[in-house]
Amino acid sequence: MLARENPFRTEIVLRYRYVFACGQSMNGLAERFDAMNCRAAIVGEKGRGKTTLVEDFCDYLVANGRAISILRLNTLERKVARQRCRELLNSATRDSILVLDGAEQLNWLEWRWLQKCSRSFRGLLVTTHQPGRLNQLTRCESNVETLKNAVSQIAPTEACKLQKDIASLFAQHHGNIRECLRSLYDRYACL
Amino acid sequence: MMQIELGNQLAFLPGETIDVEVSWQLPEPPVLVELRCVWNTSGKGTRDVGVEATIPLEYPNAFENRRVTLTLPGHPYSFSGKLLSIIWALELVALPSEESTRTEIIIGPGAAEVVVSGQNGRQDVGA
Repeated sequence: MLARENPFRTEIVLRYRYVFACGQSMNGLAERFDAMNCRAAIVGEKGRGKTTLVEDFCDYLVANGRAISILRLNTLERKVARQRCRELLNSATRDSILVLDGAEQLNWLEWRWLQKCSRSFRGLLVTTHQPGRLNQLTRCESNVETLKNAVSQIAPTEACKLQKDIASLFAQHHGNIRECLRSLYDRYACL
Repeated sequence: MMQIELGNQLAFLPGETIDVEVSWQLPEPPVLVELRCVWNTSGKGTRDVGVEATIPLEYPNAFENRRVTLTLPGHPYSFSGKLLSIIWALELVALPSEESTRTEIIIGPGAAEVVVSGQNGRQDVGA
């Protein structure tokens, strides 16, 4: 199958947004964030939806009149993480909430430095794989139902065919939904 | 409502000069309308996008039809493999509302997409 026809191509997958667990909502998350004085962490292992949630949460905050400055760090940027953070601090206005997606890329010293520098800003929201850097706003988790739901939303016409493989795929990738979806892309690419 | 009309032809030669009929019916006259020749990648991994050419259509009315002559880029060709497709398109965008429409086109040798179908790394050409 050609890339442009693949039901799990990137632009289709990116349309699938974060789904809150029962009883949670964006409004509730924002209220909790305010109660935490806008300094909190979204925690979760790789491929659990942290980046998607933080994107949606930032859109929500902006729509509600907040100023946001976002920095995304990945493993390739670990060596320049401090420089990228400095750029974020220099470009953001003091009423901004600083958002750092990938706080685990900072070492302890860099993290302490950022935490100190960020005190003069309105807030600091980070995503991180492990708890401990800031108080936890929410934890992103996945289960087989999460993957089933993602597949049925992303590729509704293929979902029935794939249902029998979902549990094994989920186990194979240790709950990493992003890797599961990439694996499904590869499966269709071979057709 | 915005429309791009290319007749029945959606596949073209690299560097070909084409006539495009564009029309729009908007609630307010836009400040500017742009016809853009754009590309994007599709497939696995990060999606890249680019604007190859922009033709401004100045002093637009709320309701209008215009004919625009556009020279298409020479490269890259429209392409599809298993991991990546390169897709060309024309976009008509009203500013500042950003109401838009998009028509995908093919730019390639023989007015066809270059297709690498994979089994033996075979390269086919097909629209």
